[in-house]
Amino acid sequence: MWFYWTTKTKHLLFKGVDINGTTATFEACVVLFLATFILEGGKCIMLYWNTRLAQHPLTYGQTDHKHQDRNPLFNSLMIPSSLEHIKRRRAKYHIFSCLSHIFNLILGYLVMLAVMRYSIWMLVAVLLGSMVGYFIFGALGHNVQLKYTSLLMVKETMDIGHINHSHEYPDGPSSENRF
Amino acid sequence: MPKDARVASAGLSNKRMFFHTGVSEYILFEQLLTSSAGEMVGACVAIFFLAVLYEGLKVMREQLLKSAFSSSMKYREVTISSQTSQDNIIIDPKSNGFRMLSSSHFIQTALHVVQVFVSYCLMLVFMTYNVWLCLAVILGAGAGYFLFGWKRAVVVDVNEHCH
Repeated sequence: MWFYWTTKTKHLLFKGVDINGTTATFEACVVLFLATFILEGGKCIMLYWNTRLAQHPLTYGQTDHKHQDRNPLFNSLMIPSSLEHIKRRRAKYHIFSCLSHIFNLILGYLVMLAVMRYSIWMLVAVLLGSMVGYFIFGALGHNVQLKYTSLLMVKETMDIGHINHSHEYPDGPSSENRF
Repeated sequence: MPKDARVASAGLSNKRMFFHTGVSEYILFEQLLTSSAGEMVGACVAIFFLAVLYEGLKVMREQLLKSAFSSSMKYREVTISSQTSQDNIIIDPKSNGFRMLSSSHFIQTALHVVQVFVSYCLMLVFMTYNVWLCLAVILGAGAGYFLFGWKRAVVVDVNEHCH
């Protein structure tokens, strides 16, 4: 009903999980901190798979070095060898994106339910976990976005005299996000 | 009711866990109890503006991110191999990447914490199950999206804690 500085919580998320006393509250807060930290990591992982899904299929040859990704005839152009390989790769990206989405949903709802107990200590633990998690995984996610959304196709670079940056580079990675 | 029992069941004892219209609710803190219609209107207006500002915060974080990226992408060196053969001309983007210890990342982290806190507060306000407060949250989010959403390039943000 309102925020408490509690040291006693009955039935935290599961029946029988009772928090009594300061050490138990501290342990519960550490668990929540780690859960929120992992949640931020899960967001980074989901961002990675969605960025790979948004990546232009003809640039798979530049980022993935299995032999199917490069057509042996046009090996130097680094384009994938067939539509089947593109489809298989994108199916894999979709499956992993879905799995990471499910994981994030479950963990996110569990953290939300813990915050819903209106304990200020637990809210502080969640905020700290989200701060540290975003500091590390947020930067990682931005680098991942930068890497996979600024790939160029080789044929665009053959116009040596007319390399036009405003045409080739996207307007910031966020415009490439299609979740 | 003994204080221990009251404290132990904190968060579980919202007596009316269904949508109800009333004028007396605790808004997040024990001291913020709205007891009359006027106070409820004031609380709804405050929650409305909080939801509008929350949408604005999300858009502002996105703008900051874009400007941080574009400033690191502006001066990119283009290296072309000396043979200039037709195959193997790959422009390797030599960008700094997003530095973890840059001031823009510190600002983004601070804004992230604020965003998480405000989003949890709005969720907890919605959890009062009071129809007026819920309407204030919903309409505030809608108005905020209307005011700030036209600037966005992305429709779904991965930083929302519940989609």
